[in-house]
Amino acid sequence: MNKIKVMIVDDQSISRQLFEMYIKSSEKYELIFSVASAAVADVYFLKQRADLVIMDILMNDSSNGLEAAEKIKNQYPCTKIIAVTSMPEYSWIQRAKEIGIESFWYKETDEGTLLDVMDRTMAGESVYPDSAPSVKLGLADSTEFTRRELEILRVITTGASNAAVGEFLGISENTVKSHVRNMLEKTGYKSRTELAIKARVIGLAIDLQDNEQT
Amino acid sequence: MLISQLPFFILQLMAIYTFILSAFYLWCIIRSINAGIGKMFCTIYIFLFAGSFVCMYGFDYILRDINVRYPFSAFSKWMLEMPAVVVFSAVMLLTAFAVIGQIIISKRIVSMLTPASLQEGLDLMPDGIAFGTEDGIPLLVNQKMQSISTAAFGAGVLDTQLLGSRISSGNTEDGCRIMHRGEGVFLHMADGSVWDMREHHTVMGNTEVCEHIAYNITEQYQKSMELTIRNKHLAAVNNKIREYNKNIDSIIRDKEILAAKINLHDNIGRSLLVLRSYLSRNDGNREQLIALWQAVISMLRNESVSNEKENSISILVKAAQDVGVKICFDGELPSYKKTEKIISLAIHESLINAVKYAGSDELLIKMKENHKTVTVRITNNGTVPEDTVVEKGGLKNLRRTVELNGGSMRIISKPVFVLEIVLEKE
Repeated sequence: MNKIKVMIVDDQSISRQLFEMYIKSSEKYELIFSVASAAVADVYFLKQRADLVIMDILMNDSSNGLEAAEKIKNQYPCTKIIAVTSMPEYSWIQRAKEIGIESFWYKETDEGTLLDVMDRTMAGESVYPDSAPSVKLGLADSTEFTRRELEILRVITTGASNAAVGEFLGISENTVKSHVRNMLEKTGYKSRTELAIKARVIGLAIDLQDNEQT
Repeated sequence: MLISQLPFFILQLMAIYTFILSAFYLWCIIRSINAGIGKMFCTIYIFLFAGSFVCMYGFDYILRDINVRYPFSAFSKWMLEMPAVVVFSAVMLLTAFAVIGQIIISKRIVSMLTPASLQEGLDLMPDGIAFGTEDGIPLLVNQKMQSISTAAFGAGVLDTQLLGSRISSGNTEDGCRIMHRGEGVFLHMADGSVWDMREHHTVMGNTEVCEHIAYNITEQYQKSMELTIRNKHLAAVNNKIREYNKNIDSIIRDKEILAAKINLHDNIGRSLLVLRSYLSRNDGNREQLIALWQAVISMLRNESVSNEKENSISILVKAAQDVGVKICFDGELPSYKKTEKIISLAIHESLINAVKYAGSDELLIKMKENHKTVTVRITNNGTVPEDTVVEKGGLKNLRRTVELNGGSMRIISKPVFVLEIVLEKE
């Protein structure tokens, strides 16, 4: 039986090597490429098309794993993709589903192994966690935030003013202020700055567009 | 009894009384005119004044005739032959009218909107207002505007046109100043108050009227200043967040590395346990155990991660090499971050298209710089396109990115494919 051709895309060498280890330990899979940047993932498809891509989302070189996955899906719809990340940024699950990524795996918190997810994905199953992992932000649990609050938090981490946040999300500045106030009350943080920085550090709110511009 | 039969002192009293009554009615006429009570009232009071005046005049004439000369004048004679009751009744009637009239007028004035009440109302306003003709003649100026003008320009409002030109010129007394912000004109007073000075021209009736208004915006102005300071502070904080955001990746990277190391540590731990079990009880698959340790050792050997950040172009060159495509550079790569990103995007698109459609295995990137621009020409050694290249997908995105950044893009299909980008230097 032909082995399933796998491509790994992850900027962390240790993560790549762990994934490589998983693949080499299985007889079903064959590693064809192990790439450090999502920006060039589609270039490798010129040489050989992968059956399965394990794609990290947040890259150090400011390339965007979800964008690269979308490009691959558009050009090679038969290739299956598993998005992997250690960040609890909730919107990535939804975005991955919209792109048509088959499965989603949290590196540190998902109970199933990556191999298990790979097997189920190749069997035609779509493996997604029910929600992003819960993390602590100050006194609050990340599950205590509403969708809108997380959207606002994400834009705030880019350094946007309340007016700019409101304009971007199509809501009034007062609404933004009200949500920020609620989040400060929930977390116990003293300032908007502290809230934005802590949210960014734990990975609860990451703006991939802003990440690309850095 | 006739008037002529009245005692002298009665005549004197009547004269004085009718004099007072006349004066009172004169006052009533003036008051009703000022209060704008109405023509009817004014007319009535004029007649009553005339009546009381005649009575007063009549008594005065009689007394003068008695004191000065004999025989009496025709008027005095006529008055003297009049029954006293008639004259007394006339005077009583005039007095009654005085009392009733005053009650009516007072009630009316309280409930009526008169020109005086209009002035009174405007004087009570906290803002300044001045109406004047186009020639500058003041029509209505309230106390507040008078005091503003006096404090700011050293004189009250005697000419509204002059007031307007003083505001425009900005010549104010010491301690005051006029600031223009956009279309707004703001008068800062020595006492710290701030006034929004506005001028409107309108037509009332058939008269062109100029209206000057001074709104007290002291509180709003102070709050606006506070807001400006706060916004500056916020902008500085937001910039700090941006800078922090740029550096956060390395912090997150360290976090991921730590997580991976923990995982590796766990694998080593498991391997040790398996090894121990194998050595102590000869239990386990030797080949599997060796493979496990080889994997762990190779990971440990590769653990030192290079901290050098490769740029996007060098990553692309390596990727191209891996897929069997050589990228050659003629000229120096610009060091500006934005330009480098755009060039990287152009090389990426050219690489994909060159391999997919032209079957090429070599890309040539020529770069030329002058003091204003950077020109990049990308060609390949693949087959020449048969038809004109149609921009879609990646090339379309590339053009949009180039043009958004102030550059230009050109695609030449024959005799060879050339992608040319001209970018402005940062």
